[in-house]
Amino acid sequence: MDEEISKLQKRINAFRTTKEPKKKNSNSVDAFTIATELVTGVIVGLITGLFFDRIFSSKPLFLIICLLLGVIASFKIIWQTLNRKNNGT
Amino acid sequence: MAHSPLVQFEIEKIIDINLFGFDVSLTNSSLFMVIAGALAFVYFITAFKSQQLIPSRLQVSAEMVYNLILDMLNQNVGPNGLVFVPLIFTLFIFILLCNLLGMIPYGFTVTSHISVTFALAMMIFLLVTIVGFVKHGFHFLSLFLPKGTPLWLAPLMIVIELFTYLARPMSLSLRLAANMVAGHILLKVMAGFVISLIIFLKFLPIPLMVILIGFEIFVAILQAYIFAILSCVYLNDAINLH
Repeated sequence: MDEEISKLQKRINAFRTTKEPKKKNSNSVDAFTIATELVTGVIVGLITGLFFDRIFSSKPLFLIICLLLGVIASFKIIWQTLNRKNNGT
Repeated sequence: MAHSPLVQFEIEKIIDINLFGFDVSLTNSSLFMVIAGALAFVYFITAFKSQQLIPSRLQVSAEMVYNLILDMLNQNVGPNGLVFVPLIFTLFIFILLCNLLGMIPYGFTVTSHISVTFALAMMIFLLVTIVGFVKHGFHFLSLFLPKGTPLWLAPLMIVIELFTYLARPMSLSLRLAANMVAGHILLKVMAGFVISLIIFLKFLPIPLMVILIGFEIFVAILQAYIFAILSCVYLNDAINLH
């Protein structure tokens, strides 16, 4: 009887941890998340550009490049977020 | 005699403590953090004190919260992410209680300061990076080069992927802080309308305030949940590389 209970317990544990993980969509319907990611991509580009400019003391060059890359990165993040929402279910 | 809606976010010292030149005084922010911690401690100790097989209602509620985090990690990371349940659980409960304590009248919203949320987001970011390097070694850097990019596009791709990776702690912290700040400023401004527009709008701002406070409580809980879910997603990126 005890053996059966422990076997049953093992089956329950196995079922619990290996059931198919259905990935829930994480950023469900939050518009604030998308807006935040748009802003923070640009801010990260800005800070990185200023950082490299301070090292190489070439004032607008790295700032412009990194700012543009930051804008591209923020659009990439938004694309990934929306894709995960649509087919990450 | 209108108070600025930004006065509610000012930090005031309660007990002044100076430790080797560092200012570790008890401010209203740290007081509310201590209250949040004490509340969580008391709740979970009381709920799990008498561990019954058929649980009492308090125990069921605490188990439901624990199962929420367990399922969150199971679905987003998989079985070998269950090591991180204590961390994500503590994070979720702390942010949830700090957000909700700000909704009490005269309560201070701890997470409305970027310093607090950035510290939490930085902790998650460093954890994810270190876990990735410990688990995969330098192969972790293959996260920055998606499969099937042509070789001439690789440097640009790596830089852009690096920027998206670095934008994660920033967006985590900014999302939480901006939600809290915007909600509370909105509440303060609308509350000012109750008296100052009493001739034009009669009593209308009062039900609006009720609806806004309900919405703010919902946003507080949702933002804590989103913080925890996104931490799990970033952990998944580190543990199971795509």
